[in-house]
Amino acid sequence: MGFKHLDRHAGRHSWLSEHTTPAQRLWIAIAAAFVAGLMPSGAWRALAVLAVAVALGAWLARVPATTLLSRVALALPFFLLPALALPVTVPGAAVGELGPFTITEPGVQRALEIIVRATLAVSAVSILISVTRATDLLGAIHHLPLPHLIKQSLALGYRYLYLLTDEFERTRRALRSRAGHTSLFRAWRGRAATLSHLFVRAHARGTRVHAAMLSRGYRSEMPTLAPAARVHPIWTATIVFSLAMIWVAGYLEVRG
Amino acid sequence: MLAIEATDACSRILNMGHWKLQSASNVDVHVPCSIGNVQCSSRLASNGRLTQTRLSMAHIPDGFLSAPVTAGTLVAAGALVAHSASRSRRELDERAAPTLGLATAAVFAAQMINFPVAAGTSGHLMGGTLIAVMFGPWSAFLVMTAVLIAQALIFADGGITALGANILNIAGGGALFGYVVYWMMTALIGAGAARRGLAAAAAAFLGMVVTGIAAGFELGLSGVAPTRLAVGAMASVHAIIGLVEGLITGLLVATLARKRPDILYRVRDASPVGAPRPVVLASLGVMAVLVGALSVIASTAPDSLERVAIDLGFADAASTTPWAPLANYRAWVPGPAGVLIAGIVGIALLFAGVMAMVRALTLSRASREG
Repeated sequence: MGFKHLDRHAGRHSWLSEHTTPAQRLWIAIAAAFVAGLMPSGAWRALAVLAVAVALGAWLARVPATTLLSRVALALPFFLLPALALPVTVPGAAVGELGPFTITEPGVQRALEIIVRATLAVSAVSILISVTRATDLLGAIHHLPLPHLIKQSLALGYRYLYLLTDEFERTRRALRSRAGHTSLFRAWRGRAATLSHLFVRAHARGTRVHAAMLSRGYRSEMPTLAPAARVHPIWTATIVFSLAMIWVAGYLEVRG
Repeated sequence: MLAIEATDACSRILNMGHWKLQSASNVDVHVPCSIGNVQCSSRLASNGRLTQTRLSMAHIPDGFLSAPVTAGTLVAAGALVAHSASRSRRELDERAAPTLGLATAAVFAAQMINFPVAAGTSGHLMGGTLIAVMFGPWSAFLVMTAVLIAQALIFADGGITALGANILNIAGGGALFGYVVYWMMTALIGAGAARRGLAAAAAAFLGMVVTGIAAGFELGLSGVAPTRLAVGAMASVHAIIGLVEGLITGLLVATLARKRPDILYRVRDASPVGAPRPVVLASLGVMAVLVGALSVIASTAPDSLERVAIDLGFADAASTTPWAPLANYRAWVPGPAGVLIAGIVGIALLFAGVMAMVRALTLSRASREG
């Protein structure tokens, strides 16, 4: 049980894994995403400094460049293609023609900014994911100021994902052995029946699992055998403070 | 053999986001592309043939929203999450933890099962309206929020700064708005199993359209793209996705209502006649006025957008959606009044069209059975 292909680099020792806990790393990633996402328009030098900081973070976390690049590349179409429409949709001074479209200068600048900001934010989160186990991340989310029910749904949801997969496999095997290919409408009805059947079964089993967990002393937090890491928060504070300073520098760059 | 199948299923659950190339057991290559903010990944089999096209809605990434929009949406989403947490706890009491946990896992897992749409194309469920019909709007809002948080923090899908906006759009549009539509529809057409299914289908469709409108509106407010262009493009694309969402949700709700009605939210409390018709019509009117007011604000953005929309090829997509009358109507009656009327007419036409379809379907079924 575990997210093996997500946790490929999670066991590795690095400067980052020794000087921060998963919860502290989560806060660093959130801070980096906020600094990158909210960098004021036109603060190119501050964005360059932030890019160097993210690269430094990848080096400190010993995340291979290929891993980081492939993860960023997989996220790229999510922001690249919407951003590429901007040079022709944003009104402003024309700098060129592209077929029937007019490319505007503010449009090009805005598209570039968005691509850089989004890439840096995705890189920061990817570094966090790469060096932290999924279970540790769920434990770290427990420290966030979120309603208790949400944290509990996430913790139990992780457990139930395997339960659902198991029930799904059983249902699918039963379905395969009894039914062949049918018409489109029948296929839809069949899938709907499978899904609702699956949910009813999983709901019953999930309730039993939860009752069993309660009777074994589960108190809304997943117990772990790993010793709680004791790390001084000074490193986290320094990193978050530096990130905040980069944002302030960007703000001053635009204003001054 | 068993172990291989289980790993394959596990990796497919995780394959929803960006991890498609990471899975060792999957030899197919996913080719991502996107329309607006909507992702579309085509699957190339090892022999180079296009076997499958998947449509799924992507969440707004980091870097798109401006600071005021980020702050505003985070505060609004936080308030809604706090409120729905207290409501959900009251409604579900000691069953809350396992029910919400399972629903969270189910939304993840349901996105794994592809429904064939046409030859080679398939879509999957988002699930907000479905969960709302099963466990009530507030619990569904919490579940969708939990899913979005996990996607942002564990799968890097959707931005962390855009989390508030994504919660408002996807959880608010699918769970809260979708539930309101479902409630109105069942009050108007009755609450048999097939009727519930049709009401849920309509609710999921309209919820998806509202999700698109809200996302386009936020992008426009942030100055990323002209507001009316962003709203139009997002609403059009989400209307297409909404058709798949509506069909799947409707089928699932109809099946559940027939087989296990006890699992649906407040089925036993519902009176056979439903809410009084004037109340339903009045809330419908309030909704129309709200949407009209939104479109007034949206239309104050800089202009020459319609030409751009035609240039970009959005015009084709827009003309297939009920939002097309909006632009024409505005040309007849200039000024904000025209836009207001256009907005109200647009939403009323959309709702009336869906209603008429639902009624026609339920009536024909009733007369056949009678």
